[in-house]
Amino acid sequence: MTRVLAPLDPTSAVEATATALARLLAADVRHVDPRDLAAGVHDRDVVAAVVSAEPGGALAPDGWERVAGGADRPVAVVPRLRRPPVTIDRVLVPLDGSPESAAAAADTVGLCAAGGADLVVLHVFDARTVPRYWDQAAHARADWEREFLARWCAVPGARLHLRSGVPGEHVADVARVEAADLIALGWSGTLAPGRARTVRRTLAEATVPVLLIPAGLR
Amino acid sequence: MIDRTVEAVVLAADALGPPPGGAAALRRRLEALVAAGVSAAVTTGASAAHSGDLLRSRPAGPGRLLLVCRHGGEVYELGPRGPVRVGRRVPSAADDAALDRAVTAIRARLDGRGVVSRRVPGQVGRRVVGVRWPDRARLAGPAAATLVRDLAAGAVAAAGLPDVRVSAGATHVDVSLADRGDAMRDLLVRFASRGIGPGLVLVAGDFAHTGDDTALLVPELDRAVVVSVGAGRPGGRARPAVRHRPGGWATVLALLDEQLDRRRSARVPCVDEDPAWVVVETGADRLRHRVTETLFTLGAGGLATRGSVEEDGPEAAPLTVADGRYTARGPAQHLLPGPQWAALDIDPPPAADRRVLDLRTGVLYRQTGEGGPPIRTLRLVSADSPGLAALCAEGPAGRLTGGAPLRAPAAGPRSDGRSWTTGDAGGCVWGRTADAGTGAVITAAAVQAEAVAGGLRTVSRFAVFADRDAAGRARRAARRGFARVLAEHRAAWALRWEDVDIRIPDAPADQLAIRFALFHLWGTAARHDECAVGARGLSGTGYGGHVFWDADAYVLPAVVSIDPDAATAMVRYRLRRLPAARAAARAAGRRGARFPWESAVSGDDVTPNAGYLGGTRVPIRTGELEEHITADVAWAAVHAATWTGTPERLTGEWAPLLTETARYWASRIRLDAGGNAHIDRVIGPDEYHEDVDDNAYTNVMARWNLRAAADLAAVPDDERAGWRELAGRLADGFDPATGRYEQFAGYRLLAPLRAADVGEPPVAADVLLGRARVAASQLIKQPDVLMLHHLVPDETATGSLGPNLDFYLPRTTHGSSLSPAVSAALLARAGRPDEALHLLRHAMDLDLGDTTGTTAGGLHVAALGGVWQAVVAGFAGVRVRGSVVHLDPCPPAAWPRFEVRFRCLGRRIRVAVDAAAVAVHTDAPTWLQVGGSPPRRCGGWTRFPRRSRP
Repeated sequence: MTRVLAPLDPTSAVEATATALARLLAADVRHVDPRDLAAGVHDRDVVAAVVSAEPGGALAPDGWERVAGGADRPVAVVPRLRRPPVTIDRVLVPLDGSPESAAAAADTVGLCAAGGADLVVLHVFDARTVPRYWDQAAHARADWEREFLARWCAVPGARLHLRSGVPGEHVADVARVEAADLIALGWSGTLAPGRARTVRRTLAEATVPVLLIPAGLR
Repeated sequence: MIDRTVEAVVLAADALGPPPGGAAALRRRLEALVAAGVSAAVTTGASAAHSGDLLRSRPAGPGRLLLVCRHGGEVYELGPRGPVRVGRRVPSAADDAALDRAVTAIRARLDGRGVVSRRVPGQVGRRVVGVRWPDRARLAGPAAATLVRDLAAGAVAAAGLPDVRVSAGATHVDVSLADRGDAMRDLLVRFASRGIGPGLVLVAGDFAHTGDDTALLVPELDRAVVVSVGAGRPGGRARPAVRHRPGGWATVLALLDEQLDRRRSARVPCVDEDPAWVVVETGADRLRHRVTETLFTLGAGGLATRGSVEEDGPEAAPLTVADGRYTARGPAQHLLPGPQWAALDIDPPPAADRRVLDLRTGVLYRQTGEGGPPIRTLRLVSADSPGLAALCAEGPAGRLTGGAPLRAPAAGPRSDGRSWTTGDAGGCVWGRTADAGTGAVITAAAVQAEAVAGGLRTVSRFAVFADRDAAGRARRAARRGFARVLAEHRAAWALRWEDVDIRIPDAPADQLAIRFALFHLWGTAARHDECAVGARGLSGTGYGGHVFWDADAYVLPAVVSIDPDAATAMVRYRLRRLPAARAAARAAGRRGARFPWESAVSGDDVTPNAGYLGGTRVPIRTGELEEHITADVAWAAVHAATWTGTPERLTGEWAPLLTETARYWASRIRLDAGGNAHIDRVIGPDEYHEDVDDNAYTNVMARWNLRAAADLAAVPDDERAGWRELAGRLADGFDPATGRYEQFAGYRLLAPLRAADVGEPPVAADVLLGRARVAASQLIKQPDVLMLHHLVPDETATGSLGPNLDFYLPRTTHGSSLSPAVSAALLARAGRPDEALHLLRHAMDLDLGDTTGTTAGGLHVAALGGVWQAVVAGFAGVRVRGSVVHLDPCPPAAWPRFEVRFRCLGRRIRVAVDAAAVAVHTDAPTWLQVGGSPPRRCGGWTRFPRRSRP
């Protein structure tokens, strides 16, 4: 049996997220002392962990950064929520079009899809990722989108949401627009200066749990 | 023996002596091979009269049997009606004098070493010096032969006779103006004319040590299979490698039997993996699978099939389409997917493979590579027999089966009314896709043969796509057999490359990329009756197969120098849609004909009314406003008539394209109170700026259209005069003070952004910044004003190319795939060839490198056309005016030598450029004007000094 790790005595939001995530991933919820989250996330049967985004709170006494930063499993960071999720029906997957981000998300995305969730892939064109050519606006997206999904998220039924600008500015907003219940976001595992700008901004603005997937995870 | 199928065989007969028991056994085998499409040659030093039984051969093609006599002095082709001499070297008086001087020098050199020599009566174009050593002991062994050869070669070199060739043995010196090596090179040229590269040649003979026949083994045979059948071990030549299979004529016969056996058992032929001609993909990068399918599309005669792997798989998007066969309605109209003919059942599917697209012969070869017996396939879409596609496969019998030879199409958007039916009759399977709404049908019939021997299954499949007699043709192709079908296909491709090609010895990657462009232009614009060239050609589902101005301004100018009849067919596509264009003009309250921005089967506008810039949904106004296409269509007709040397078409069959478009412009133009003429509310080629007034490109093209029609059309004088009057009044935005055209009224007032402010071009600035920001800036998507200098330079102000390049290029983001290649052509014309090559490489790499992530949806055909235009019109500086071909080459530093071959004015023209000269070859007398020289009527090769450019 696989498990979703959650802290004991959770807030309703964390507990709700853990329950919904476990249902999606066909897993059980295992509760542990919040101080044991960082270590427990490495257990073989753990598929994901859930932690509060509240800084220094009782549910994440070491801070979510310490749990997620050292984890080799996805960690759902739960912001203060007005409406905790009952089920996770739609997952937003931001991808930057690099093999690394697609590889990191691949297994989790596959599990989410297998659990019946709708997948919405978000790609944000920035100066680094904008295509060289966009010939005819009447047609260009169809080709580009088909190939992008085929390469990076070849899951039947996945949809693509495209934006232009700075990626961090869009993730939380698109999650709202798309009514996503969860954001599945690859990250490098470090909050060192200059890194993880998209993660920081998303966590600051998201109104749904953010599942941080460490790079290199398969 | 060699475990490989070859397409040409050369037997070096001299050192082997006559076949024991006569040549009948050899003759039978050679005739059988020739009947299967193999080219064969026997080389001998003897004359034809002394070539014995071989002369009695009467082979029927499609292969050729050549007898090379007197070391290449004479070449005979043996056919059903006996031997015909097809080559002969005739020495001039100067040649004879050189040979005599060489003999004198050699004899003097030998004499100096105490060797006795005498002149032996020789043959035409050849001298023989007999050698006698004073010390008999030194006559034996290769050392003597080496010494004689070195002495003779040294004497000839010292005498300053570089064209004289020397070969020698211990007892003689053979002096000629061409040696056995030249004879082999001549054979390789003859094989190449059948599409057979050196890697498909088997050379057999006695190549032991320093025997005379070793001179046949020229370095060009590097990829050939060379077998020495003599008793002695072959010498240590580095290139080509020689396999030793002693046994004399018995081994030769066994080698030929192996080739016959491989054909009888339908083994998969090989390709010559010449790096100058092949595009190779290993399949290791799964992300490139769909890209590779596009790159490996095979097309001919209006039929094309993507280069999908044969087995089903999630990463495959197989597709076969036919030019002009559309399904669905309105903007959703797209090419109708036809029956799949190239699928095989392979279980388990290959985990690794190597795929080779051979541009020279138009075949796609695959070999799996996961260990164990490989699966090998080779397919073609026949360049010789339109509509015929053929596949040959082999692999372990338990893993490979042919399965259904025709299968339902898998790719492409679904549409109501599309159907798939299949059945079989008389050993032939047929399949048909149809659209009940449009009436479009694609019918195919296929014949398949499978055999298993020694655990190896072979599959041969012949599919014919035709509205009539598909089954009969498929059966006939099957009877001819794959080897013959392949031989005929290769020969057809060889003819194409003989006439049209690029050769850049110092830039092989550029050469390959340009050949790739030519290959797909041939495959895309391949019909000679009516040819609709969509933005992605026939290589994918992108853009629905819709026809844009890309076809008229980018593809046609390239195709007309490649396949003039196909360019004519492209004009005919527009001509036959004049009724729809007239109706569109009427609907807009105008006269004449207004061509649609996007066209498909009927010529009605099929432009969608909404689309996306990145993720932003935007209204699409090109159908409403991008009206320059009407002039582009007229321009294409004039260009095609000019390049094909058929101006009479413009006053005959094609005249309505000029008159009706001119009438449209005459009714579209607004006269202001001051009598000046304007065209309001259009989109020019730069689609970053919509709904603009007096777009320079649109106005000048309309002006050109009016004047061209006034000059050519048979219309009443008052209408003609009216057109001229209007043309003269049209605003064009030219400022004599700066030498620049303003792209449209008010452009100069926009924010002066440059492309470098956004990113490194090419960059889709509109996707990055949004439509409003680019519209408020001077950023442009692609040449607009500059497109005038490309298409109608005579309509632009003298000397205005430079100032407009200087101004507009820094503002060009090249966010359209049409942009880099045409910009390169213009830079070359402006004497900036190195900048041109930098941009051209973006265009060349667009699909090969999938640099924009959309090649999986199909090739960017306009970019391919632009590449060839940049070579011909840019670097070679070719223009046709009247009956004169103008040339003004301006190559980049990376191309110190290059040769371009193309067609125009009914001629086949070759232009060879190096630092000193421009050499031009025409196959019939042609007026040429090179650089600033006066026009000259030239035929054959003519050299012109290169002019220095400022």
